[in-house]
Amino acid sequence: MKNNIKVWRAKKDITQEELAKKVGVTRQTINAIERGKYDPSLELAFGLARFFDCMIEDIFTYE
Amino acid sequence: MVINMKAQEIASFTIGIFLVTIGIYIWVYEPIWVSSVHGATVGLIGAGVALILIALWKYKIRISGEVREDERDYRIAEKASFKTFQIIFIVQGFLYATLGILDIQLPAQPVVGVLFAITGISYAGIFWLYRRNM
Repeated sequence: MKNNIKVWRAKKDITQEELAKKVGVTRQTINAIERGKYDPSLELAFGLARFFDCMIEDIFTYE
Repeated sequence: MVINMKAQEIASFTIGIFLVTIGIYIWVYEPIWVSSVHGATVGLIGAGVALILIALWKYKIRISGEVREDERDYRIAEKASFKTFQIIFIVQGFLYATLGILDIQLPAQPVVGVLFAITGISYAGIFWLYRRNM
């Protein structure tokens, strides 16, 4: 699974720490997702999409 | 002050208090059914205090709103638990089989056998339970 959270984060100009607090996870989890080391749960994926005000498919791409 | 503890924290806290109480009882009354008063007292009070501290620590973190654990940690814990189970089960089975094949009679041999059975049955039972509910 690919994602472009880093790009969305840059658009919103927030740090990993701030994003983690907003969606209720640790900074390490956001970092692991960005590096492609961890695929988030549906719940977290929806949380991220809601935070960035976009569709899940805009953030995550299944390959 | 409103104390809003979760069921798991309450359970941990209560079991901790129970263990400490039993430990103090053994220390004070030294019942005849306890072979090592010192060992039992230290073990029970130590485990009890540890459980109480863990419950209070988890409660404090939850109240502060700080995220220390999340879904990634739980997934890692699942994987670590399963690997640990596999290792322990294989080691226990190998040990029990080796003792049987070499006809080595150790006082702890039945304990190894019982632990082997408990580990396997527990895993199968809990797996079945979760499979029904998920």
